[in-house]
Amino acid sequence: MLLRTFKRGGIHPPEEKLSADLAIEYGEIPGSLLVPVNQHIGKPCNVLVKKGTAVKRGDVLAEADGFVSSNVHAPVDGKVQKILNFPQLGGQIKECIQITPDNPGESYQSVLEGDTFQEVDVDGLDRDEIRKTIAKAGLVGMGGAGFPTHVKLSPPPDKTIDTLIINGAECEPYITADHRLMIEKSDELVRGIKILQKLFDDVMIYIGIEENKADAIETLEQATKDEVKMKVIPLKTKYPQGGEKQLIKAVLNREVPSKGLPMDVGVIVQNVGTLKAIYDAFFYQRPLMERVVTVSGNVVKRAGNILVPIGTPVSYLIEKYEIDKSRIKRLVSGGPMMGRTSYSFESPVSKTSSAVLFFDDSVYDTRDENPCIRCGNCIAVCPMGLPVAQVTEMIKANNVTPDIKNYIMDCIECGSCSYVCPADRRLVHWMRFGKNIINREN
Amino acid sequence: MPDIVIAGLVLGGFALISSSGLLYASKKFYVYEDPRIEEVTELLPGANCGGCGFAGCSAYAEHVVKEGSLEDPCPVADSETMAKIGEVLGLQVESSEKMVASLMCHGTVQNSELMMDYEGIEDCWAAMLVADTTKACAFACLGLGSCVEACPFDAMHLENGIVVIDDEKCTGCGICIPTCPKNILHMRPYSKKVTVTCNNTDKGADARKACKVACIGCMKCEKVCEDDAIHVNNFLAKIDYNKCTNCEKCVEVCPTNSIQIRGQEVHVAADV
Repeated sequence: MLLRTFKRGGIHPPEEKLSADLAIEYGEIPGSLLVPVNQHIGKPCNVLVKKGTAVKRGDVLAEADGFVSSNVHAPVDGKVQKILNFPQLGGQIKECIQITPDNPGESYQSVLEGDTFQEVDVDGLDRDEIRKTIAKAGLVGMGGAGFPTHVKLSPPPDKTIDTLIINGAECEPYITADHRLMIEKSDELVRGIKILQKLFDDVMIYIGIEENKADAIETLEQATKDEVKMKVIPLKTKYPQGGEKQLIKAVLNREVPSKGLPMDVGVIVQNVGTLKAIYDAFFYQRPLMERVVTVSGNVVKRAGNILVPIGTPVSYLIEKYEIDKSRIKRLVSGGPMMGRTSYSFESPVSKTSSAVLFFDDSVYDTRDENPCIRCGNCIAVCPMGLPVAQVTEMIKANNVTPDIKNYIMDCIECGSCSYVCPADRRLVHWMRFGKNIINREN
Repeated sequence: MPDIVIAGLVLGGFALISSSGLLYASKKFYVYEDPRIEEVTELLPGANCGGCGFAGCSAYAEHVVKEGSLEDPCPVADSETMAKIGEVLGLQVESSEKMVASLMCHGTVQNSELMMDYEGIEDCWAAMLVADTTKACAFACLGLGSCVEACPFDAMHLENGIVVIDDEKCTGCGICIPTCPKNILHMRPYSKKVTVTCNNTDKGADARKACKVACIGCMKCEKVCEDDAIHVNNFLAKIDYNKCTNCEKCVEVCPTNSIQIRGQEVHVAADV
């Protein structure tokens, strides 16, 4: 069978899915949590708590300011220790709320078991009610970008949505958080999908999963076999298939226009992690307070997928997985392709950290940047079809002309070009620098 | 007739016709330009740095002649030059002091520890995309030289992970100020050598942990100052250069050496 995939560019890095067969574990409540105030794209939140405030699990710590913003909830019972600026996974220094939990060391599984399941009549739900519940629960896209989910689900009236794509591609090496969710929580996912189905008239749902996750494809096909409007689409394994634009091209063969959004072609893409969170928000009244994180990399003795409350510091994961701190040379949050390097072991897990990876120097090359040899590899693999070599040369010469601005803004920063560059050029970094130059001009 | 004469006549004829064409064009398309514009342009430093906000020295000259005022003076020219320009325009110019750029940071790699090996693009803005800081102090100079690159007068250099500004070469054009993503460059009068070399607004203990020469907001300088020129606000001392008299008393009392005299910087912090 010929599997669907996107046509232009793409690479196939070593998959290294070390934790693919390992069930999701439950963490314990760490001794101290650092909950970032802003974990989404959009307007910053207003902090509602002060030093010394006692908080209960699920209390709103920071309230959304405006529509394109997202609530942040307390993941555990405890007391606000301090509000401070702290480096995040990803390097940026952001405001954090430090919480000292009442019961450190308590298994998070027992905390979750304390929540009561409440059956919801999905058919009786009102559309605005659904959006409101999602907004109240502080849901953001859990694939990595962190765009508030309720905004994504409220397209302007002139756009008709006919397709919903569930993103289970997980094309990045090492990460298996979504993979495990699809296997272990398939029924929950389907129930979550049914809630989204209510939002739009006559919407077709496709679940895009790469073929290297055969067990997930099988499980979800089982779970959706009675659903007429849901279909699991196996995709050819290729990076960056998990990118919204690439996934739409692969599944539907529709091309999102430059500077456009998926809703311009009648599509909304949601990550499987977000769907699990939607399920929790409706059936458990549980706001987004936890996430599955893949712990992996070449210096870990055992990899794993672990469900931890948001705000758990990386140092807790290091301890839990008995990782030799002295061997860690690089701490990457997210996948090795698009993830960001961090420099503090105390940085907290946020709503968007799908993985925390630990590497030594053997995986990442640290050679100096060399001159471009015009091999054209970067252009061949660019999934957006950009003339990467030429554009980065122009950015380097501080010559960001209007005609290359569109190229720069179209870059999805997938890292394919940097991966194949034989001259070790920091192509994605140059592209991001170009975006920075354009933003500064405006 | 010999050939040479014919050739001479033909060429001479051509020359006559074309020169009369040029003569006609120069009369017909003559545009009056204020001769003072050229005079002013000659007087200006001619660096075309753009510090005044115009495209270059001649664009600036055109502007001042047209406006007939010197309200926004050339930031590079000294007061003598400005007086001469004023003479051309028939204006009285108040002499103003030369300003120089000054870095509000002394977080050399010895003072504020490096937190990472940054391997990306050598530019402060590019580094800010990866992490907000490369040093222990979140306010520190990144030391990658976006301002050095921008300086048209070769007055800035990187030393020990921070930017060092040569007061003699600096003309005060101010081009470097917006190139700093950390916003730690500011202008001060050339003669006022006392500067607060810190921009950390964290509480004293946190600031001190991040950098050996951080201002901890202890208020000692504010108390010792007889001219009411130095004030601590938000755990950071700031000098009002209109009042500062260069008495250097604040430099003596500062326990962390975060107030320094330009040209006589103390590189190793005293123990608190």
